[in-house]
Amino acid sequence: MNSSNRARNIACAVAFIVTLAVPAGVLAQTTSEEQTTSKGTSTQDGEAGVFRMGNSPSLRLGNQVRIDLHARVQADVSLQEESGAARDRLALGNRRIGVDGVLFKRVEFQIEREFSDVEPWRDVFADVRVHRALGIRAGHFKVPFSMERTTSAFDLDFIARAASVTDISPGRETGIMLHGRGPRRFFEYEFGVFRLAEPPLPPSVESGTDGAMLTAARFTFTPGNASIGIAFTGSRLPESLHGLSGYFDDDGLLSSEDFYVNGRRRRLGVEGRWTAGRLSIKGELLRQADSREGESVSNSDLSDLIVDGGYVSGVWRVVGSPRRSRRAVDVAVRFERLGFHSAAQSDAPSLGPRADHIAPLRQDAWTFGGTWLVNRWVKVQVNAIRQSFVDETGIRPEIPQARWRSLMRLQFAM
Amino acid sequence: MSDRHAPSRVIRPACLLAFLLLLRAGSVGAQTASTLFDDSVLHTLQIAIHSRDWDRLRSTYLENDYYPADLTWNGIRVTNVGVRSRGRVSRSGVKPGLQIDFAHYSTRGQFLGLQGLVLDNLLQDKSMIRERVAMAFLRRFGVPASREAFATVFVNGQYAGLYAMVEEVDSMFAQRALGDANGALFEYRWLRPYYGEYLGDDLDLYRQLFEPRAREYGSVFDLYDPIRELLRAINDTPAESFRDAVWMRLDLAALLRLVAADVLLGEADGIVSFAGMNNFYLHRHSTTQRHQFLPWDKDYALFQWNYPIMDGTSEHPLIRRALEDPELRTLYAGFLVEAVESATAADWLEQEAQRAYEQIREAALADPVKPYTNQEFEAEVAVVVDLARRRPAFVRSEVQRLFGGR
Repeated sequence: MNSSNRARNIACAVAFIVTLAVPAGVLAQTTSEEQTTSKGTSTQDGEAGVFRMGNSPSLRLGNQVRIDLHARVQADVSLQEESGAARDRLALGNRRIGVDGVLFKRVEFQIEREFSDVEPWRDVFADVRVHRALGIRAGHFKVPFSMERTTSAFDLDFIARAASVTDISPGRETGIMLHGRGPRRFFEYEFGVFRLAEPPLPPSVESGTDGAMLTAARFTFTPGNASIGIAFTGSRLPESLHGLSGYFDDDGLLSSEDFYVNGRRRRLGVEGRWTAGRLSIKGELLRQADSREGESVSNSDLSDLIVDGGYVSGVWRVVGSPRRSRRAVDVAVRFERLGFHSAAQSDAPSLGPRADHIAPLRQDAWTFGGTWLVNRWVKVQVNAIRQSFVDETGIRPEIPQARWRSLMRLQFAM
Repeated sequence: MSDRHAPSRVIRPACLLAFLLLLRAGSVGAQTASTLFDDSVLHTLQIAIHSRDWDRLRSTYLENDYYPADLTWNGIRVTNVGVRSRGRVSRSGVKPGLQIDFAHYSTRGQFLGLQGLVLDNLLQDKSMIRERVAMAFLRRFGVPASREAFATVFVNGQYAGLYAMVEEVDSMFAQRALGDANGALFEYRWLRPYYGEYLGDDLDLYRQLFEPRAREYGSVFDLYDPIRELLRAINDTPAESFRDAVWMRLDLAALLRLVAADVLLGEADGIVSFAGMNNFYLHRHSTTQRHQFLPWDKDYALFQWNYPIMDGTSEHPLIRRALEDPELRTLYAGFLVEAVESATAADWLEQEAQRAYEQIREAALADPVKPYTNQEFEAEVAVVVDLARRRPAFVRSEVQRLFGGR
């Protein structure tokens, strides 16, 4: 799908949702007299006004319209001298601007754009709350899969998401989603249908994913201080070379390790989180199985290509309130694993793109980090990461040595 | 039969079955590379390759992209080998020459101790037997040369033509033929008529001509400085010290033996050719650091029975200067005579050409993708057999005329 078509579809979906929601919002409106306010002045909470300055600039029209403006930027600095000159070690990360808000108490919306040529539009959606147990979201937004993937890049405990989350989880797609929750958020669900766009970095050899549909469901239960969840996705998978490139960061190790896939892609994710005072622990197990129909050298089916992994992390709030705090210091540690293999492991392992027994490879990583919330807008993070690779078959010409990396991130988010 | 015999009714067939399986396993286990290259047999190779990969390999036959395939020979199936189109002027999208790399998708990949196998599409030789007969003669004459055997090749069950299976010149070959798997090995790349002149100090000029096939990751200096020094010695050393200076860097006896064999075969596209050096590998021994020329691609051998035996030698500094040295000239003349005797003993060369023809005739006639007619095939075989009959006598008379004695 080209970008103009996609933008048109998103716009139609948003307009549709807004149209559905406006009557309810209009019915709920108060009179204009009740909304009068002193234009152009900051106001206290509870007062009706036009402009406010909280965490971000906000436009309020009574309690019927709230529009917040956001601007966010990240800069990453490699702390290793061998990375080059200081100027070369600095890289701008996410740079986004956007608005979100609520219309007529029922319609939430978000529009966010990245300063980038690749997928500049991030979240563009409208979300109608019909009932606590039923909301409808339509537009371009994150597929409900993985706790960490659905967490904003500006709210992570570490500089980067776990590799398994990045590689296995789907990102943003255009679609429609039903969602809701039970009393006291004990139970939440999300169920969506999405239209897959052409991937920005095409691994496909024959045809893209354009037009294929993806179905996703996620259920979370929150008994007390703990939360557990399970998520699934399913989609058709056009014939392609499943690119595991980018899989192991900038080493390019797997850039040539591609395997033909064709048929269906199924993902399964299990997540958990537990909080006790200053300590919070969370983890996920993720698995992606790609079928390989008709992809053997004799045009018969091959066993599934499986990518799986997960992480477990712990965060300790050293300074600041255990709950939301504008100024705080956290220390954190994470262990993660990501690997791939085939379902069949009978014959000799191989790196051939049509091998039934794909030689497994995995990456383990430890991340030690600290986060300093300087104020409500500024965050500083430092991570030290040790990566190692395990090729149990030993058939690869070479794999990188285990290594340490260290990074610092400066973040401004308003 | 009573029930007490029941166990024996089961055990005996089981033992028989086990025995047969052991026999089968033994026969499979006994397969070696020598069996694969047994040229007394017309072999059969089955290649299973995804239909689209095969189409793509043929449509992009000028590329060197590898595709995964399974190879079956003599009941042994090797999975996940890499296959690509190969050759220079012999490249074809109709009947592609194929390079089989057993280690392409696994560093542990090998087949009967081989890392690779070349399937020569026999495109340039209408007789289809020149390469196979020439290599057989070289080996018979004591030249380290690739083993070869004919094979009918089936791709996804369909007859894809008659090919020659050629042993690849790699570190496995170097171990078998030269007893040195750790030496440097280069394939000569013909870019322009080049006769072995000294090219100067710039190592890049040598790197363009000699492509490393073993120890590829050595430094440019380690790889190419010895070649530069060899060529410097060949071209710049005074006549009186030529033999000693070159001998320490090159196995001159092996070279002259190879050139003599090429002369006997009427090779027009070898180390001494009409358009510079061509079709050879250069091996450098890991301990002695001496180089040795290894022959490759004999499609242009056995073409003209009276092909001049000194053709090309005057332009070739190495051969010209070697033949100016009385001792080396005598050695070379001896090799020429020895080659004649080897070819004529029991009419070996003629018999070998005839045997190769009879072995492949049926498969060659049935080859649906060869780019020449069956009449052309038969006529060209007649040329080769005739040459095999007449060439040794011609060489013998020329040796007597040009070198005297013997």
